[in-house]
Amino acid sequence: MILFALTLFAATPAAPAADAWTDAFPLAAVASPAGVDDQVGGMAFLPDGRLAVAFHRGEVFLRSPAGDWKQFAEGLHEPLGLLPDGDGALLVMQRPELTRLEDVDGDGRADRYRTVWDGFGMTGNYHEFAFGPARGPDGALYVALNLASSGDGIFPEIRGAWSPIGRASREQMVSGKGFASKLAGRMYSRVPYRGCVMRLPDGGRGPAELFATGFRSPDGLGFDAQGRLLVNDNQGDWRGSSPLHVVTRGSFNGHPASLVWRPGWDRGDPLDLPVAELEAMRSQPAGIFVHGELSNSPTQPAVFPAAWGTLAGQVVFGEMNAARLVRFVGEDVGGVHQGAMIPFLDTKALRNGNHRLAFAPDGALWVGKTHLSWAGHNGLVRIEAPKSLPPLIETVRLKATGFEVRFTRPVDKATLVPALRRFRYKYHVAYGSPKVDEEKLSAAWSLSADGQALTLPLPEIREGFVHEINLKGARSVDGRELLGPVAYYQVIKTK
Amino acid sequence: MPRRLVTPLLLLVAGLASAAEDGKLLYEQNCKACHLPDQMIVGPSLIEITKLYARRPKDFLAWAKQPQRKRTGVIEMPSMAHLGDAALLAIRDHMAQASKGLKEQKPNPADPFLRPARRPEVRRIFLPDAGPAAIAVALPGDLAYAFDAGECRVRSVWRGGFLDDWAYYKGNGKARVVLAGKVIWRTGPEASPPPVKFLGYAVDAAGLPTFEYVRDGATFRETVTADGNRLVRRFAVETTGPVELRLDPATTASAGLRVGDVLRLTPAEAKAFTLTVRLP
Ligand code: HEC
Repeated sequence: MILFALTLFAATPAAPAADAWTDAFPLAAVASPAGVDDQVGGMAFLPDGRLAVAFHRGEVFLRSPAGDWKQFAEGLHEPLGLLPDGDGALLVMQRPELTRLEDVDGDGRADRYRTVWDGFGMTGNYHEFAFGPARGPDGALYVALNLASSGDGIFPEIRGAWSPIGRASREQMVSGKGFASKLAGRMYSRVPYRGCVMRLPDGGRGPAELFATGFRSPDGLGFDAQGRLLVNDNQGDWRGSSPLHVVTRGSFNGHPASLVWRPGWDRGDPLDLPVAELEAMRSQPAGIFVHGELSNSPTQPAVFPAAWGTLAGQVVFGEMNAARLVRFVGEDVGGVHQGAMIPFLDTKALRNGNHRLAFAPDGALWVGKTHLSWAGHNGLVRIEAPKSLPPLIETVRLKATGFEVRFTRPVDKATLVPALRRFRYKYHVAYGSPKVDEEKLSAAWSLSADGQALTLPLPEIREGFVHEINLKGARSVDGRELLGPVAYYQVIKTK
Repeated sequence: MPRRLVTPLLLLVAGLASAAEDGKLLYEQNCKACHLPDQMIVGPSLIEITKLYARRPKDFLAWAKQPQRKRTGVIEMPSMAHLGDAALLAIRDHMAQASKGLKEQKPNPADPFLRPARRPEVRRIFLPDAGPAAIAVALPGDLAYAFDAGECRVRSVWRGGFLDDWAYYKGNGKARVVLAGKVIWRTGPEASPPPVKFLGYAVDAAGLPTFEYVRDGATFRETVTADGNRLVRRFAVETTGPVELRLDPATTASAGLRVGDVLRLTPAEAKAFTLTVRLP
C-alpha cells in the first residue's frame, strides 16, 4: 500500500501542464553570433530594422532582419546600454564612458570611438557599472551610475576627485575588502556622481549636470509613453525590495550614499543622518518589485507598442533572477505617479537573466540575457506580438472607495476568489527587508455585468503600503486561465 | 491493515513527497543558477555544501539568510532570507538528496571564449599599472601597451601574449586582468598631472588606434607602433603655445629641445614629431 503510494507520487509529472503563456505569446531563442560570449549588455533596433547588440566582452554586432550577424565594433569595457544616434552611429554606455561609435568611411564597421562623456569618477571597484543612455523628450541623454560595493576595495589609482566623506580613508579602501566591508557602508560613493542619474543636454553635446541622487544599482532606465523618466533599483541596503522611481530633477531617491554629490552638500556623511530625516527627504517609489514573488533584480523598462493591443503604452521590465517579466501599470493620483506591478510571461520557457528589452518594428519583443556571474542566462529570445490578448489583468486603478481591476477578457465570476493583503518594507541601512505590518484584507467585491471590471471596495487604503490583489485560479468565461493573476499596487497617495 | 491507520500514513507520505518536490523546485528557482550538484560554478557544489552542513541545519539557515564572504575569487552570494526557514530547510534536504553518491568534478578552468589576440587589437578593461579607465592595445608582433584614458598617457609596455582575462570575467570585474607577457616599460602616476580630456580614438582599416586627447590646452593625436625593440609614438599636436613633455631616459625625441627630462616643442615642431622608446 505504502509502496504503491510512493510510486504514485514519484510518477506525478513535475513538468508544468501545457503552457498558456507561450500559447498566447509564442517565443523562440534567436541564434547568437558564433564565438561570442552572448551576454547582452545593450540592445536596440535601428530605424532600418536591424538589431544592434552590445555583448559582455565588448563587441557590438548588427543583425539583419534576415538573421545575419555582422560585427560593428569591439573592445568596449562592459557595455550596459546602447542607443542609435542617427547616421548609423550608436551610443554605448561602457564602464568608463559614454561613447559614440561612428562608421566614418561607411564600410559597415565603426572606425571612430568618440568619447561623449567621461566626466565621472571610477575607483576600479568592480561594482561601478554604468547604465543608459535613455533619450528624453527634451532631447537630453540620461545615464545612471552604480555605487561601489563593499564586496571589494578600490584601485590605488582612481579617476576623478576623491570624496573625503566616509569612515574609511582612501588608503584603507585601497588595502581592500576588510576595511571596505566594515567601514565603507555596504554600497559607497567616493568618486563623483556614483549613485546619481546624470543629464547630458542636447543629445550629449551639452555640459553634464547632476539630475537626481539616491540610487544603488540602477540597471534600467527609460522613458514611459508620457515622457516620465523611469529608473528602477535593486534590493539591498536602503532598498527593502527593488523600487521603481519616477525620477524628477533634484529628487533624492532613497539610497543616501550619493547625497554627497548634491550641490552645496554640507551635512557630512549621509549615513550618519537620522533615518527619519532621510525618510522625509526621499521621493517614494511609484512601484515595488516584490522580492521573492515578483522580481529580485529588475532591469530595463520598455513601452509596449500598438501591436500589443490594450497593453500599448504600458511598461514592461526585465527580471534577472526569475523566468518572467514584470508589467507596470501606472496612474496619476494626487499629483504623483504610482501603480501596480504584475507578473508577465511568467513561464519557465522564458528562462531567467532577462536583461535588455527592445521592440522590433513588427512589434515583437526581443529579450537579451545576461548573468555577469550572478544568477541569469545568456542569448536572445524573441516573443511575438500576440494575435489577440489572453485573459490578463489589464489595469488596476485606485478609486476613492477601493481598487478597480480591469481584465482583457470577460472573467467567470464563479472562478473569482480575490485574496487581498497589504504590507510594506522597512527603510533602513540593512540589506533588504522582510515584509512588515502585513495584514489580510477582505472586500465585498463585485464583477461588472460584462465580466471585465472587478471592484474591490476597501474601508481603508494606506499610504506607503503595497496592496496585493491575488486572483489565482480565476478563469475567463471561455475557460482560459487568467495569466499573471496577481497585482501589487504601491500606494503613495490615496487621493 | 485497519483502515484508520492507512490514512495518516498515506498523508505522511504525501506530505514528504510534496516537501521533496518543493525542495527541488525551490532549489531550481533560487539556487541552481549558482550551485550545481557536483561542480563548483559560481558557488560551491551541493556535495561540498552537504558536507559542510550535514549536521548543522541552523548554520545552514544562518548562511542562506546572511551569506558571508568566505572563498576568494568568487562573487557574494545574495541573501535568501525572503524564502523563509521552511523553504530553506526543504532546499537543504534536496541538496543532500541530489548530491548523494556523486563525486566532485573539477571546475572548468578554461575560458570557453578564449581566442588569440588579433594584432592590432584594442580592448578596454581593468589593467595593472594604470588607472581604471585603461585601454590595452596589442600591436602586430609581440608587443602590447596600456593607454590610460584617465591620464591620457601610455602607461606600460609588455612583450609576449596579450591579456589573460578569464579571472576578470569569472569574478565579474573583481580580479584585474593578468598581462600575458612580461612588462618591459612602465611609468608611474604623474606627480602633478596637467588638465586632460580624453576624446576617444580612431581605428584604421587594420584596427590600429590613434588616440585623441587634450592635454594642457593642446590637442594630441597619438599613434603607437612597434619597430623591433622600439616603441614608436607618432604625434600630431594642435596648439597655440609651446608643448612640454616629461620623458624617461629610454625615450628619445625627433624634434624639440630637451633639457634634463623635459622636452619643449614649439607649436610648429609639435605638429609632427616622434618619441621613440628603446625597449630591453
Ligand atoms: C548568485 C549566485 C548564488 C545563488 C543564486 C545562490 N548562491 Fe549560495 N553561494 C554563492 C557563492 C558565490 C558562494 C560562495 C561564497 C563565498 O564562499 O564567499 C555560495 C555559498 C553557499 C553555501 C556554502 C556556505 C559555506 O559555508 O561555505 C551555501 C550553504 C549556499 N551557498 C546555499 C545557497 C542556497 C540554499 C541558495 C538558494 C536558496 C543559494 N546558495 C543560492 C552563490 C549563490
